[in-house]
Order: sequence, then structure tokens, then C-alpha cells
Amino acid sequence: MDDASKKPSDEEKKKAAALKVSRRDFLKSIATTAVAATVTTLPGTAPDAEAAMPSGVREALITLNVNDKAYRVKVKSNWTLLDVLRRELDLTGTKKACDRGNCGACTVIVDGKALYACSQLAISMDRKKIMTVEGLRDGEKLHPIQKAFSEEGGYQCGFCTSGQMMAAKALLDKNQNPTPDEVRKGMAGNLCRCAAYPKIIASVIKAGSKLRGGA
Amino acid sequence: MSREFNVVGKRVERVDAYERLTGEAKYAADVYLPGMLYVKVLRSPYPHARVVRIDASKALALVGVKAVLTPDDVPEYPIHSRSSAPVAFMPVLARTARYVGDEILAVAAVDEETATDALDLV
Repeated sequence: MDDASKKPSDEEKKKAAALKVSRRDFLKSIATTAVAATVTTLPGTAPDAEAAMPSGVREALITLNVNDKAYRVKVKSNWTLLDVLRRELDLTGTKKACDRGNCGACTVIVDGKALYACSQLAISMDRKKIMTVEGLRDGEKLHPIQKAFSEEGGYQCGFCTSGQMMAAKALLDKNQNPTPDEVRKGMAGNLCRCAAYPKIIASVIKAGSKLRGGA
Repeated sequence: MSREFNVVGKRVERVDAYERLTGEAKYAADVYLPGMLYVKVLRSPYPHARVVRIDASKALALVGVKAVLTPDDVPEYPIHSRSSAPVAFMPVLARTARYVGDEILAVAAVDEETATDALDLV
């Protein structure tokens, strides 16, 4: 049953297309203004021999404070924190799943707040205090959150688990004794395709108990 | 049967627990090799369409793009039934798109961003 009047006209389609900005272009456009405001840009940005330098993108030297370690990194202004952590710093514990602020697999803690690393420009993270999953354990000793996830089996494939544990840390830092509903609400930004949710919730509650001094 | 079990019905720590929970486990997406190329696929925006012509010259000219694969470059693969002769051929890259998202061509470049930009130039 074809109702031709309901289909968007070509003119309407053109208007809609003009308003749509791709994620890449958006990152590039805000990257230029962000660089001007914050960091020392490297002079004479010569494109590196391998890849083309898209217009508006600059190179900058930033300091990332990750898990109490300072990393001096040369980054492009449109790179996300997630890409820098994984590719430049070889901290692949933080996972890239949707890369669009939907799933939470890339959750890290920045200045005490849980953020999606995929949605932060690396240059805007200069000199901020960042914690990733690699920073949970203390040498060989596992963090109570990690022990809780292990004991309660709060993971199946494990891909979302880094993000889940970082979100759990941010939640437990604020509320050490959450109810199951408070856990659901506090961890609502972390999806799990394996649907390990019941055990994730149990793990967070167990972690809370451990942090309060219990088993 | 009233035996005591060692594993069944007991909590057992998984052999891979440590690597997964510390973020040390390398999944396929965590592997970065020197000289590695990144592939992006151009997909049909139409549910049913015939590819009339492909002009990938601008994509190939982009610095960092190493290769472009079109339907002509990739042989269809044979599907065998009981006989030794194939009963059908399955296209890898489509000359006729049969659904929104059907793969038409692939671009390989030195990084993801270049590969994605190259798709726009096809």
C-alpha cells in the first residue's frame, strides 16, 4: 500500500542530508577549535609520510596521566582518548565496541568521573588523571572489584567487563552499599551482549561488601 | 548416587579469569601489528541495485590507501554439493546488491581514518 504523499520529497531528503554531520567530520571540526584553546601545537604540521592529513587536523604533544604514570604522546587533534590508550599506549584493556557513546565498553575514570573514552578527544584529556582497567590491580594483587567479578562469575566473553568494572568502581566510590536497583541504575551505561547482567549485578554487590570490609 | 562432586555444583574459578579481569587478555581487536592495514567496506545504500560503474581513482590516489578491491578483483566462490563440480557460485563482492548493506567494494589503508575517508572518494 504505497502512499506517495508520505514519502519524503527529494528536496526534503536534501535538507535532511545537509543537517546530518558524520561523526568523523564532527570530531575534526571541534578538534581544530579545541587545539587552539588548550595545547601546544607542533609547529609546521608536516603530514607524516604514510597517511594524508585531513584538513583542520593538527598534531599536538600532550601528557596523559594514566594509572599514575605520565605518558608524553604526540597525537592528532581528532583522535579519541580510546584510540590513544589502545594504539599509542598499548593499554588494550579498554575496549572499543561501538565507538559512538552507546555501549560503555570503553568506560574509564577521569578525575573521579566515569566517562566513555570513545567520546573524549585525546587533546582534551591533557594532564587529567585517568584510570583504566589496568590500574585496578595493585601489582600482583587484584582489586576487590576484580575478585568479586571472579567469584560471582560476572562475565562470559569478558569484552564488556573492563567497562563494567570501571563503572562499578565509579559507582562504589560514591555508594559502597548499593541495592540491586541502585546498581542497575548506576551501571545503566554499560551494555553486555552476553547478557551476563544478573551476575554482573551480583558481582558489584559483592564488591561493595568486600570494600566495606566483608568477604 | 550420593557421591560428592569436585567440580559439578561447585564454584570453580575460570582458567582465563585473570587475563580477562585484568585487561591483559588480547582479543582479536587488540592486536596491532607493524605495517598492518585497515579495511573498510563500501556497502550498498539500496536494497536492490545493479553496479553500473565503479570509479575508485580518487580513493586510490589518497595518501595511505594501499589497495581497492572491486567485484572484478575477487572471484566468486564455488558451492559444492555431492558432486565434484560446483552447483552454484557465491559472490563475495556484489555486482548486484541484494540488500541494504551488501558489500560492493573494499578499501585497505594504513589507518582506519584514511580507509573511511577513502570510501567517500569512490
